[in-house]
Amino acid sequence: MREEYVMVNLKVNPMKEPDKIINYWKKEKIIVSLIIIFGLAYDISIVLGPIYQGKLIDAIVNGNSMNSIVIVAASFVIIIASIQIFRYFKRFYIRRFANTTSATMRFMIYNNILHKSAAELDEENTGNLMTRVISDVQLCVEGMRKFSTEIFDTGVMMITYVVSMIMYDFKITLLSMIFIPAAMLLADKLKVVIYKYSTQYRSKISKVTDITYNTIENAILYRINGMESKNRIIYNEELEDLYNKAIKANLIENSMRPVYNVIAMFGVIIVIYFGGKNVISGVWTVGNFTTYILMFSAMSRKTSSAAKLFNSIQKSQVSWKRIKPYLAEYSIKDKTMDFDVHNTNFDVNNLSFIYPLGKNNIIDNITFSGKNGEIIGVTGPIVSGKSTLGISLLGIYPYIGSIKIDNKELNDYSDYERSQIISYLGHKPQLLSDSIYNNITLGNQKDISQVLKDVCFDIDLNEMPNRENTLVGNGGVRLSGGQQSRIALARALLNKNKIIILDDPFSAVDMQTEEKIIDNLRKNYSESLIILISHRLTIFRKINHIILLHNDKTVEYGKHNEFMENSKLYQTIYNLQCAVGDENGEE
Amino acid sequence: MEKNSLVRESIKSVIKKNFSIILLMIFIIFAFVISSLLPPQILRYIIDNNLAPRNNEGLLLLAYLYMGAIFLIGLFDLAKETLLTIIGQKITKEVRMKMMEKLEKINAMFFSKNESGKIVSNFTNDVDAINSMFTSVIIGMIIDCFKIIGVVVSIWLFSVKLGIIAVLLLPIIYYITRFFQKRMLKAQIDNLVSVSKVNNHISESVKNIRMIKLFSKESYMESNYNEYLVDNYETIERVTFYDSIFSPIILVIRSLIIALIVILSSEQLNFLGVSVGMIAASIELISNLFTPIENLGMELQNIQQSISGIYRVNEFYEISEDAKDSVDLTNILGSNNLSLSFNNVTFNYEDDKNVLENIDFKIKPLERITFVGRTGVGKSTLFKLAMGLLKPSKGSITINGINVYNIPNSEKRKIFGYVDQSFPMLSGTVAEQISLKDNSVTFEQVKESLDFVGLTDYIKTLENGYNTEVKKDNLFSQGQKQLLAIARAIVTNPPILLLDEITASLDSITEEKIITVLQKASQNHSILTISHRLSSMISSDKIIILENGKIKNSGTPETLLKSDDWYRNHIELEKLTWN
Repeated sequence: MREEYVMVNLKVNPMKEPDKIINYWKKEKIIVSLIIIFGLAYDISIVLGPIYQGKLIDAIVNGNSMNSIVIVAASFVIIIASIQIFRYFKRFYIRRFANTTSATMRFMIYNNILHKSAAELDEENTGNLMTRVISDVQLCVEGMRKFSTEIFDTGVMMITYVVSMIMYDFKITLLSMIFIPAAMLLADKLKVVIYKYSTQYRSKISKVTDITYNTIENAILYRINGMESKNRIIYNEELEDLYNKAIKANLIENSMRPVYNVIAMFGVIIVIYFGGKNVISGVWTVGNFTTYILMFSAMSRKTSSAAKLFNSIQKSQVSWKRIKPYLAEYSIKDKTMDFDVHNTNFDVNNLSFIYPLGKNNIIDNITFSGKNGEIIGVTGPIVSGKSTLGISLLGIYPYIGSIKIDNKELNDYSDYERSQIISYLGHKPQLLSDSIYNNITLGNQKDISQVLKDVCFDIDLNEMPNRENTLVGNGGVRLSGGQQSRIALARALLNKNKIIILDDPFSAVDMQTEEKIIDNLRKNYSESLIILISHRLTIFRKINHIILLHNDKTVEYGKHNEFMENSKLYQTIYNLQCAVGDENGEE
Repeated sequence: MEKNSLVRESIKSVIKKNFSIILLMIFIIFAFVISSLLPPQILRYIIDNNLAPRNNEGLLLLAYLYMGAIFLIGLFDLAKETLLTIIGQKITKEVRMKMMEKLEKINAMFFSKNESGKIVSNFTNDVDAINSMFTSVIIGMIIDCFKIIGVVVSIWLFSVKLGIIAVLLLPIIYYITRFFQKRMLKAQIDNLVSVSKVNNHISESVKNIRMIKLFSKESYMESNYNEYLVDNYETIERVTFYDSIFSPIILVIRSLIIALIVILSSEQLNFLGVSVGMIAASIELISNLFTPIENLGMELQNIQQSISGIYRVNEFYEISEDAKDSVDLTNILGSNNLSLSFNNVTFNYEDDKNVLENIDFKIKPLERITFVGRTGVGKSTLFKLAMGLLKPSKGSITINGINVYNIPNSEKRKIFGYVDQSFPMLSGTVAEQISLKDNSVTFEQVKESLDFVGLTDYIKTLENGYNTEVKKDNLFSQGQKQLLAIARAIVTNPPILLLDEITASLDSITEEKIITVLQKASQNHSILTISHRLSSMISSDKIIILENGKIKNSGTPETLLKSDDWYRNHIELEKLTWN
């Protein structure tokens, strides 16, 4: 058993033109042909079941010899077994098709979203989007699966039954079948009503869900204002309405199934009467009679599932429409690089920046330069645009002015080159639920002991029995805030990129450790230019270039000592911060 | 072991309230089962009395009878489905109502610890799962059991020996089903684990998308995703395997039994001593015996989902509740002369270290107090305690001697007005943002409070004035929302106002406006403020500095500026907007 599912190719592969639904069938040629083979085999051979059941009865009626009865019985079992084997494989491969398709779709959507630009991502609520898209993939694939199943189990099977019934008796078949289209017609007419009631029901569901969400999201607000019991009365009224709508929608959708069945079965009167006459007149055997009734009943039951087929196609179309925009050609980053790994010259000239979505943090007309081995500090009051400056230097958003690295404009480097030239650490540590090692290396097989020492994590590591392989938990929850930010810092430092931008990297680190880390940065990263953004002036003591941003968008450039002498603001803040002391520290 | 299970209680109460429907339901189920045994019997009669002896007589009548039986089955099926839907929906409604009642009593801590989405899914998905458990699984199984009994009895009536064979068959089928059920469930549980890994990887990627892109780790993340997808693929294949194999095996066993019956009833052996019609009918009945079992195999997945749904709903029902003693509020309702006091209050969240320790202070009527301290020092917890949302671990909080924890929530709006940074827009009109659709709040009160915060002119410019529907979130600016929040808090004219960091995210012009409004409000309200910045702008009678959960220092602003270095420096840094 086990080998069977290990055999499949162990990788989800990208596909071409993922936005055409037919391509998912085309892509799985082998599976689809197996589905067709076993589907046809099953749905055609299925008539042999009733036929042999009739033969068994005839064998008894005719008082055949023991030998021939056993032979008929044995062939009955063998035939049923073969039919069921076909059925097993048909079912298995249809499900495998659904499984592969779902994996491929999710993989392609994932690829598409990962390769969207920063501006595009800002525009969408990506978190919501992903969950929505994933549940749509499920619905869509479910529809594709049901469609593939029903093509055989309704389409092919009905044809098989009709053909073999005609072979038994043309007249009876024609007469008894009149009621089947009648049932289908009714189902078709009721579709409109069903749609109406189920839409009402669905919109009520979403309304009640909204109310529930609102009640829970604002639970404290309502509690403080004593509204809970009043809201509950409204909620109960809404539930009552939901209850009525649910009953209407469910009744008309599910309870109609027996009605269709009864209508389609009306033909059984003709079958029994004329079929019985056939037996009495000797045209049919008793076995023929039972076979025919079995086939007729199976056929009528299929009537109601034809409606199901239609529903599943419709549902799947709706979800397909929603996921289609996220299915684009597979993208992969170009990984060619052309830059000097050593000697960095960084020149920022008249840089201005505004977010594409118009958040109001603007930076205006900033000019500075630096080279490898230097640390540049950036500071300023709360809304002065410190962090925005850091982000604008990454080149992920359009900017005004110029940012040159080794005399080449930042824009002219490829995404991949930029990621190898610049590394960035933002406010959030952005840890993955993986080991410390994998969080720092992100797949590069590198030794991390030095970088862990640089961020003073070596002592923390000694207390962890699994050392580098310690799992950090979801979002890093198993580590303290200070540990999280130092792991993230280690990640930013690991490759010793030409330019390292650190936005408030010491937010949860105590002052002594902070000082040690800055010493390490100065000592061990002389190949890099480090840009250090912080509101804590104490860390700038040993740094020579400082950019001081003001709320009115003016900028001052200087060194710590100069600012201490010339800038009243800088001096005041520095003294106040020294006096207030350690605001962060480990919790 | 009788635990207070919400699901069981709800089902019980629905049964009690709808006893006649339940009785009808039982009758219908019986009728359905018995009618579904009819067609094979009629078929037997046709074969034995008409077909075998080649006798035309009464054939048409029998054909009508057969159809009549089909019609009866359809009718009872329709009735059964109808009643099931009604009862299922009644149970769903009952469970939801009970959950909402529960929600009202749940301790306030619950809301800060659990994401809204998760609680909502308790109310929606889990309850739906319970409904499908009740309708398709429990009732389905009861019907199947009756059907099995009916089939066995019918066969027994044909021939005792055949009856015995049918009875012997049951345990075999049972064990085969159990065998697959166990493996299927295990495969499904493995599958759920791998599904959650796949989904977690997605949400993680979304959360960390900037890092991934800046480090050009798209392909690394993608290959990890691929790994999870492949894992998931393999677990689904296992589920698929059991799912695909169960029903074919059952049908092969069925064919074996049919072959056996035919051989045993051959003329030569004549072991069973039955007629041809009985053989045909028995084959039909045996097939009927296997259908419910086959269905059961298909329903396994639903059963699993429903059980976890029930489990989660019951878990929700067991969350600890607030236990309030009744109090007499006649002396404090409507009075402006209230004084709130913290009497040596210590608070911790479930065995954790103390968030607040030995907090002791008293606020006189119309006094203004500001709490300062680092983030995470427990200021917001202090407010929740003050309003009686949380119960102190030690000590007590009283208003004119009455324990605030015991004040019913429905009365709090008359005593406290609470404003924090967020102003959640509710669905409804502008006026309803203020009244919260509370019909004891008059339109006059709404207008007055909006006038107090100076929003009247703006609201009059809106399409329908006070009755403008707030559909989108762009009707009001951030600062106006803050003013709305204040209007919402003061509309019932409560004597005590609590303001939690309300100007933290505002520009200076709006801030000034809000401060003016608050200065005005402070003339006839006691005001408690938590703030980083407000402390330096709204005049307070008293400042309380919190550190490590304790009161580090307190006094008038003037004395603290002189005596407390930390306070003085802090105020200075705030003034320079340097955090």
